[in-house]
Amino acid sequence: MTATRPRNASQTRADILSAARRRFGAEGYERTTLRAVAADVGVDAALVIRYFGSKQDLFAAAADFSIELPDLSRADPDEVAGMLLPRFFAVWEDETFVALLRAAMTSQVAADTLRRVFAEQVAPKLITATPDNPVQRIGLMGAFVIGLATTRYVLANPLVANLSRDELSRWAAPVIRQLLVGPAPA
Amino acid sequence: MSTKRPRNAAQTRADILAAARRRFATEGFERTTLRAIAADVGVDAALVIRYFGSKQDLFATATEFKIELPDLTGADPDDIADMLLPRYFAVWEDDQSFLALLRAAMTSRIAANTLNETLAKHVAPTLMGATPDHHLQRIALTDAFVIGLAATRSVLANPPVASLSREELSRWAGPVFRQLLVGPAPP
Repeated sequence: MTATRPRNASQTRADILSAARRRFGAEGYERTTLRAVAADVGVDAALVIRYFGSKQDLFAAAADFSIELPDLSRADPDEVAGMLLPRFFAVWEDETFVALLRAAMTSQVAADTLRRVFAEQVAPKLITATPDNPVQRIGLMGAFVIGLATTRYVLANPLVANLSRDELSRWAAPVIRQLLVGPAPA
Repeated sequence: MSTKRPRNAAQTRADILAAARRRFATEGFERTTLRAIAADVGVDAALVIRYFGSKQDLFATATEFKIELPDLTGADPDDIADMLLPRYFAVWEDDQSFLALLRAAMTSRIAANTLNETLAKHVAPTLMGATPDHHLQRIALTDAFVIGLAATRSVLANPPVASLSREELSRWAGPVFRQLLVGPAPP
């Protein structure tokens, strides 16, 4: 295959995004360069800039993902965890999310992006389930979800990573129930 | 200040460890070089090697953190969270070694394994003093929750979690620890 093989623009864009996710995920935000991303795809850095703009713009595009969470306002408390967990797994197993999570731990820009995703897409849906103390409930839920994703998919902690999806869901469900809709602690 | 200022060995060791934590935390394990750490402190890389050995040895020393957990055998289930949380807070918020390790672990297999092994060696045995059954599941989920709290509070600084007082966070985390460690096993 030659370096000047014909490409179509949409394939090139997709290739650049997926190279960017790999780089941002493995090296973090600060250390990733547009030149390295371009080289991975076999294009010029100027093309990356033309398609996506600055490194920060490329990061935003590469880390852009949507989380579709169900409306929980009328959900039975016993069903909330069962409604959420399959969606959480879908996000955790998305390479975009894992790249964002890795980058967020070492970069302010990436951490801001992750916070925004949480504030705009996750918190508003979770709040529909909470009977009171939304800040505390949502905050602890966020910590739990980030912790599960981090230990299972990033750190690959054997205890967490070796649980089947089913087993993990069974044990996570009472925690989600308690945090979102359980009695407020004394 | 001249770069040849007199140093004593203990201070130099401490300076090297602090510089190593900063580098490993911000650049990860792979990209950090002994030369860069030495330059941060104003010493020669050979001195770093003489004091600490290889990069991996230095990493192990710089990120070694102590977590002293109480014996939970026979503890009242209602007391377990209160027995654990102050110890966890001391590590998440005050221990630069742990925070450097957690950040480095996000982009390095070696660092991740160090963190996983520390949890397995120093945390799991203590938690097992409390768990009545399903030890692996209970400890796995507890580790996940603890890492999540540490990451959102001290690394990501996610406002809802970072802005809670220790006391408030403990009140809400308490029932989760109780459920995970000693609560009824889910059906």
